[in-house]
Amino acid sequence: MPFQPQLNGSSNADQRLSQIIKLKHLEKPEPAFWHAFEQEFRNRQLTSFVQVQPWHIQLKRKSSLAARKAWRPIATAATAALAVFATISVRHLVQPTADQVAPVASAIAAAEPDAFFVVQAAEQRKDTNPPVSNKTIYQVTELSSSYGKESDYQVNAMPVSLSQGPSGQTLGTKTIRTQERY
Amino acid sequence: MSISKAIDKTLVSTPERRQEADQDLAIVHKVQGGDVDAFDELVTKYRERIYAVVYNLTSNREDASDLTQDAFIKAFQSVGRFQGKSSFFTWLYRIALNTTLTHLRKNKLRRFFSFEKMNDEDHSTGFIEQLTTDSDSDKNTLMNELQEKLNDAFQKLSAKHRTVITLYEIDGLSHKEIAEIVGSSVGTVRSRLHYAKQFLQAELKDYVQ
Repeated sequence: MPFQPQLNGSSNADQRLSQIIKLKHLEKPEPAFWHAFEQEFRNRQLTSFVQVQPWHIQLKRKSSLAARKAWRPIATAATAALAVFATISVRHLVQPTADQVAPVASAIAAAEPDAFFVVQAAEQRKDTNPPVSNKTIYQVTELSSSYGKESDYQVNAMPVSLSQGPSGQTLGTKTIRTQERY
Repeated sequence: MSISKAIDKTLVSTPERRQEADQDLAIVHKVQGGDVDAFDELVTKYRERIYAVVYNLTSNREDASDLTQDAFIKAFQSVGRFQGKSSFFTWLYRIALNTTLTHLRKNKLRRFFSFEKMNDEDHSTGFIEQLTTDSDSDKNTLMNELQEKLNDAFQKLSAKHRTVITLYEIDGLSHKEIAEIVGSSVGTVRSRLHYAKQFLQAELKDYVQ
């Protein structure tokens, strides 16, 4: 038995609705309307022959036409450029080596506010070069963490003279830590 | 016969449509060859149908007149680029639809309704007679009431739903033809039609049930 597509049984409501909607066929203009329509259309048709679009509208139309045709290759090129840029950027973000860290640490140290320390040795040490004098104020000139040992660091410092205020505190400085060994 | 072929059979262009498309293409070739006056044949052939579609989308006769003119002018200006990939009728409808939808989008907040009068000569449909019998109103009162309710309900539909119901119920196009014109799948057209009908039935339940 050949297949016969079954139509969805239109309910009475569907049929009535179709009939109601078809009443809109009755909403149509008078014949005189079409005479005026023809004349108007003829005028506009003739105008369209002689009308020259302003240059900026012509340019806009041609650009949008060109853009519509060219979007695929442009999108492909843009995607490729982004991929190249991302690859280059990632390389710059790779973790730096130890050799690269030291100068950075030195630079950071150099940018910090001036640091001072006071040597208060139980006994004067003469084995350093130059010899460290007791209660001398030294200004740190370089702090490097690449001295070689894990917890050691190298301090380069020079003796300085700072004035004392009435409170006995050295102006502009504060004791942040007392280090027994240095 | 397979199911898909059976369904396709109901949806493909009828021989009448194919003949119509061939005739239109011949006229288009004449216009492209320089016979500008030949375009008037196409205008005369399609103006009422295009006007009806645009009018039912806008519910404003003045706008419908302007937009129909716009559509034909655009078609005239572009006819040189028409390559016959679709029928001229589909192409023209698409221009009219896009022109109208653009107008509706731009004038969302400034909508004024201006309805055509119902043509008195064609009132004597069996359906109207039945409705008149069912109610106590006279024919003219009933017709006016129905027109108002129907147009109110139509305007509550979104533009895309109004489009499919107009093309299907008023213009008598097939699902496939509508799908070609609006640029959707047949399934989408059916789905929108179903929704639009359900909605209108609810709005017009006093007349439908």
